[in-house]
Amino acid sequence: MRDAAADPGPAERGGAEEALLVARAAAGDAPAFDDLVRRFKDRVFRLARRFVRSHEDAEEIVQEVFLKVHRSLPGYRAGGPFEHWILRVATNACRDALRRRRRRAEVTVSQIADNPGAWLDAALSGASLDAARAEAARLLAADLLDLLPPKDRIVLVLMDLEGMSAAEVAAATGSTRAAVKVRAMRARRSLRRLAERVPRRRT
Amino acid sequence: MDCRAFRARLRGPAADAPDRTGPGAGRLDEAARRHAAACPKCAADLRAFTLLALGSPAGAAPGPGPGFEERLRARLASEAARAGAGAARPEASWLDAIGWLARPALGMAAALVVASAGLYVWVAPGPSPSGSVDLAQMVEGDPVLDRLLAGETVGFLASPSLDEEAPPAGAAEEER
Repeated sequence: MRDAAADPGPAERGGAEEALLVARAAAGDAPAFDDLVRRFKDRVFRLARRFVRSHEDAEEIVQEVFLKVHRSLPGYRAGGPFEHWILRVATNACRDALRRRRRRAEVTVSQIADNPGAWLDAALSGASLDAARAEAARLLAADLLDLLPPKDRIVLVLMDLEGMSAAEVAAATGSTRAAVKVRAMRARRSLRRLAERVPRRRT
Repeated sequence: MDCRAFRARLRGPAADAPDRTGPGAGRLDEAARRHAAACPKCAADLRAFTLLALGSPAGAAPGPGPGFEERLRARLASEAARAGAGAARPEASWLDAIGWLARPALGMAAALVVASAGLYVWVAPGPSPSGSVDLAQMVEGDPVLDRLLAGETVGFLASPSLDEEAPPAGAAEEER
């Protein structure tokens, strides 16, 4: 007869295997660290890509994250899944990148387009744009989103685009569930105000 | 469809994933579109979400490009080399260089600084005009601290009295 208590499920086995891998990497085992990189690089890249304009910038963030992980691993104490910890390092790196960009440029809606509402209205209606106009629309939207505080933008992306729960975002940002919920509420309000500042399409 | 159902439809795991219909109203079904057209609050939510999804794309590539791991290893190696070079510099471990025997003497010197500061407070005529002891002035006028800061760490601690200050340079000539 199968003993359910003695036979851990796939999640537990995966967690134990990962903990062993992390311990080996922390002890200086290079192949174990390479394995961690392979496991998490795409996840970190996808997150970074949401906040920067180019593939290269996103890759630079991923490198920074793993360099920091490598430096910090010897002092790492598992208090939860390793993914939460690495996502926390990644969200910090993304926040720093957003802050640097916010310092560089302040834009207003009227500065970024002649007919500022057209691109957003086109996206809202689901109309397909040619590649050049679609890229221009993405850049305009990114310019506008740079006006949001970096922490607000991170919470919005994690919850509304990545589909993470408030608890998961709290673990990934080193915050509490309640604080994340409050920030998400405020950030959505700020985002609505920002979208309202984009004029409707001129007809 | 009510507002709650609309918001749940709007957001969610990989809400702007390419296998869905893209950001904005294009990914909403007919019932959701009708609701957004009739509800100004949800219409504003949809406009805001569209802006967020447009400006924060996940990108077409699923991960870093080829050669990423090799580049990372190279950076790790160069960082390790830099750290190794830093550790080899003698000034990195100045406390080790003066030897463990000097540590008790340094501890004693620190204790004497504290004791003399306490003595100064005890015998001082009164508080400073502001009503509190001027710590900066007290530390500046402390002879033991001056000598420690001048680099004397061990030798003068063996002198008979710490209260005897060395005569200032040129004092002998002035007395003559």
